[in-house]
Formats: sequence, structure tokens, C-alpha cells
Amino acid sequence: MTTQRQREIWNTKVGLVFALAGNAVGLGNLLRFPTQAAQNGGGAFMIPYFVALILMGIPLMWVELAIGRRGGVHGYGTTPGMFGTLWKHPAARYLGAFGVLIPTGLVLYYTYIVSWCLGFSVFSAAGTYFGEVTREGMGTFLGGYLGTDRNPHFSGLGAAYFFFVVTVVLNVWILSRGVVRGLELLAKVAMPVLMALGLVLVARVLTLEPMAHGQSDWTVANGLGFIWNPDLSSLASAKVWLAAAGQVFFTLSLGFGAIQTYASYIRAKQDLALTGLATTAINETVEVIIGGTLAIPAAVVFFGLAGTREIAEGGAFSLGFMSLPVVFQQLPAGEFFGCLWFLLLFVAGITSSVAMSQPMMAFLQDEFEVSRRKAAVLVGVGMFVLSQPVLLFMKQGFLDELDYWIGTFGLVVMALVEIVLFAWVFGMDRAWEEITRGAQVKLPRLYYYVIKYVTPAFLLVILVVWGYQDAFGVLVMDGVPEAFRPYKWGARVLLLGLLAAIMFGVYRRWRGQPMEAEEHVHAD
Amino acid sequence: MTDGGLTFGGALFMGASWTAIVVLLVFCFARIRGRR
Repeated sequence: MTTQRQREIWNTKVGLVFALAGNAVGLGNLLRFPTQAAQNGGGAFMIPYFVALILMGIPLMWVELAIGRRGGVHGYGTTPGMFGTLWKHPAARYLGAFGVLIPTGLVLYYTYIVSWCLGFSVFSAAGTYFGEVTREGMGTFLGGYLGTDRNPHFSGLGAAYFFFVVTVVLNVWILSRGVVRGLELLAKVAMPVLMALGLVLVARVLTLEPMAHGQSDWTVANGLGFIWNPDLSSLASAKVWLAAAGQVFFTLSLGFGAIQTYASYIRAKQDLALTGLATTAINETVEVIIGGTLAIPAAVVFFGLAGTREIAEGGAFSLGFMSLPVVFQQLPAGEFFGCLWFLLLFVAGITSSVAMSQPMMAFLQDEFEVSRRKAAVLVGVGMFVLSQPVLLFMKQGFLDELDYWIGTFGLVVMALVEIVLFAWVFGMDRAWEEITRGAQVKLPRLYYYVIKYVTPAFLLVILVVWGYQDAFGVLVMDGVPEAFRPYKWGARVLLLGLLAAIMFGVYRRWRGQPMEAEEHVHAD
Repeated sequence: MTDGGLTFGGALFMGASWTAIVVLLVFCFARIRGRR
């Protein structure tokens, strides 16, 4: 394309870092992290987690920022165009279609989960679930809300639909305001609010007194010990390493395609190295300091270590939506703290859901010249319509199937593809020049080799082991009841249909255009 | 995983991790604000 429309640019550096942090910080920091830590032995998890962060997370963040900024300079906001500038082969653009599919597929269920947080913040403030003083009772309450269980609180999916529509409309409104007046302004408001909410809750958890149930070891100190007492034997456990690496992926929003899109609105010679580090620092503050101090220590005080392990085995929703509401009911001003907890989740979630929606926005705006408002409405309507099976077939595992292929396996595949294209096809010398151009901090040369060898090897090992351990079983639906299989197939058909539509878009956009025509750089 | 409270090693690991994250955060924002 030789004529390019003016693309928006982030207004301030702080706004850019807050927006990227808002992109990265999400439900994964506050729900997934403590659950993964508890499932993988607490202190046994943290050492592999930090190693994965340093050897895989931070380098991949720089790679995605560099691919995105380079793409933006060429007028592309999504990976089909971006990959085409790295590898002069038509297949590159079709590989890039996955960078639009993944965030779009994720947003179909992520936005729904974010809407639960809004709903539960209202239910907490109103004391709606107060009286359900056991985890089983709260499980039934949540099941009633999601339509998977019958209870006196909900007669159908009305409440779930109400909060979902409010969340979708809020997303559309923010997206329609554009990068500076929408995404950047949201981040500048949301990140300080999120930090404040988090720190208030951390102070509350750290001052929790042991409850009067005669269990002297049900304390905050034991909860912190559970997470932090190091266990070096974990270094030999492949399962723990994989869980830690998977968490690093999810928490930094790597392999989504969303970081690249945000980076496409960065100026050509603006720093990436410090931006990536600052984004990681905010993300880790919310994850390790806030996320690591809230859910698990609070659960240990009320349920003990054995109970907390059992809760964690039930997954993130069991911890966040079923167990913590039981805790709030036993605290003075529990309505207030319950409301704060779910508001914290909602604020963290909404900054990520707009980020996941932005690649499709950019694809429509940059490649098909759709106006911003029209693109926002199209994304919102598409999000609402395509989410319907997620709402209606929750019990049959529709969401779980999408989450496995998109939110777990897809991320690793995408990350491996992009780092191979960037470090090996585009070339590591040029890649290093891209990453370090305009850098406000000097990156150790060691990272040249980490990005070229260590990170791809790390990703390849994860992919092979996951493929061997899980993916084949999930593919052939091992252990899935016969009655649920059509719904799981439905989720796959939805993803394949979405992929086909995006690939058709790629075909239409670049049909008959030689790769050489892409080198019309608009630097600023 | 241990059931005996926060050990000295655990407190050290937690303190070092928190300190490293906060120092990185302060360093990054000092540099960002300094060169805006």
C-alpha cells in the first residue's frame, strides 16, 4: 500500500507504559497467578517463575514491542502486515493471521469473565450472596448466575446478560474514542486506581487476625510461607517449569498479538527497552506483591493450608468467586472489601479486554479503511454475537475448549513463530538494532544470545512437552463425556471459521501485491 | 511447601523479590520522567 492514513501515536511516555501495563495486567495477575503458585507447591513455583520471566518473558516483551513498532512505521497495526515486513514471503501474512485470531478469540470469553467481576462487585456491595457461608453454597450461587445450576438467587441468565452487555458497551465506548482519548486515558485512570485498590486490600489481608476456629496455624504468616518458603527440589520438576513458563506468558500478554498492536502506535525512534522493563515492573508489582499477598494468605487464614490447596486444585474461579466471598462474609465491613476485590478484578480485566479487542480494530482500520467508530461497533457486535455459545454452553465446556486452544496452546505457537521470524528469518543483527534503537537504557549484549537461542529453545521445549502431555489428549477429547463433544467441536468450528475469515481478509487486502511494495516507510 | 510459617529463607526470598521489583519500578519511572 503506498498511501497510508495518519495513524495515532501515544501522547506521553507514562501513558504508553500505563497502557502497556494495563494490557498486561489482568485477571491472570490476581486469580491465575495465586492459583498456579498454590497448585505447583507454592515456594516450589517461584524460582522457575522468575527464571522464566528473565529468560523468556522480558526478551519476548522486547521482541513484541520491536515487531510492533516496526510494523507501525510501515503503517501496520497487526501481525499480518508486520510479519510481511520481516519475511518477504506471502506465507508470512497468513501466519500473521494468528495474531489477529488469538486476541479476538480470547476476547470472546475474557470479556464475559470480566463482566462477572462487575456483577460480583455489585452483589458484594448489596450483600446479595451474604448468607451463603460455605464454598459449596457460593459454588451454587455462581452456578445460578452462570445458568449451570438452579438456586433461589437467579431464575436464568438475565443478570449475567445484563452485566455482560454493560461490559461490552463500555469496551465499545473506550475503543471508539481511539488510542489517545480511549486506551491511554483509560490506562492513566485505571492503573493508579488498580494500585490503590490493591494496596488497600493487601493492608487488610496483612492485618488479618487468626480466626477463632481453634487452628493456631491458620495465619497470614503461614499463607506467605506457603508461597515464599523456597523449595529447590522443584527445579527438577518439568511440570512446575511448564506451569511457571505458562504463567509468565499469560501475565505479560505475550503471544496474544495485543502488545504488537499497542507498540505500533509508538514513534519510530522512541525507546522500547525501558518501556518493556517498566511494563514488566508494573505487571510484577501487581502480580507478585499484590496478587501473591491477597488470595492465598487470606484463604489460608480461613480454610487452612490443606483447604487452600484443595481450593486451588479447583481452579482460579473456585478461589476468586467461591472461596473469597466466604472470607468477606466473616470480615467486618465485608460488603466493602468484597466490592473492592471484585472492582480490582474488573479494572484489571477491562484494561486487558480493550487491549485484546484493539488488534481487530487495527486490522479493520489500517487494512480496510473502516472508520474508528464503525470498527468499534463492528467489534462490539461481533464480540456479543460470537460470545453467545460461551454464555449458553458454559456447562458443556465451550469456554474451556476455546481457552485451551487459544489461551494456552495458541500463545506458545504464536510466540515461537514470531521469535523465529524476527531473530532468524529477519536476522538477529537487524533484530537487535530494532530493539535497541532509541533505547534509554543499555541492554546487556547477553540478551542478543538469549533472544537468538535461549528464548526460542525454551518455547520449543514448552511446545513439545505440552504437545506430548496434553494437546493430543485434548485433541481426541480424552475423558470428555459423549454429550459434551458436539459443543467442544462447536468451539473448534468457531475458531476455524474466525481464522478462515481473517485469512480471507488477508487475501483480499494483499491480493496481487508484491512483497517489495511494502517498503514505503513512514518514519517520524 | 512447608506448613511451618514463613521461614527465614522464605522471608529473605520474599523480601529480595519485592525489593527487586520495587527498585526496578522506581528506576524505570525515574528514567522515564527524567527524559520526557
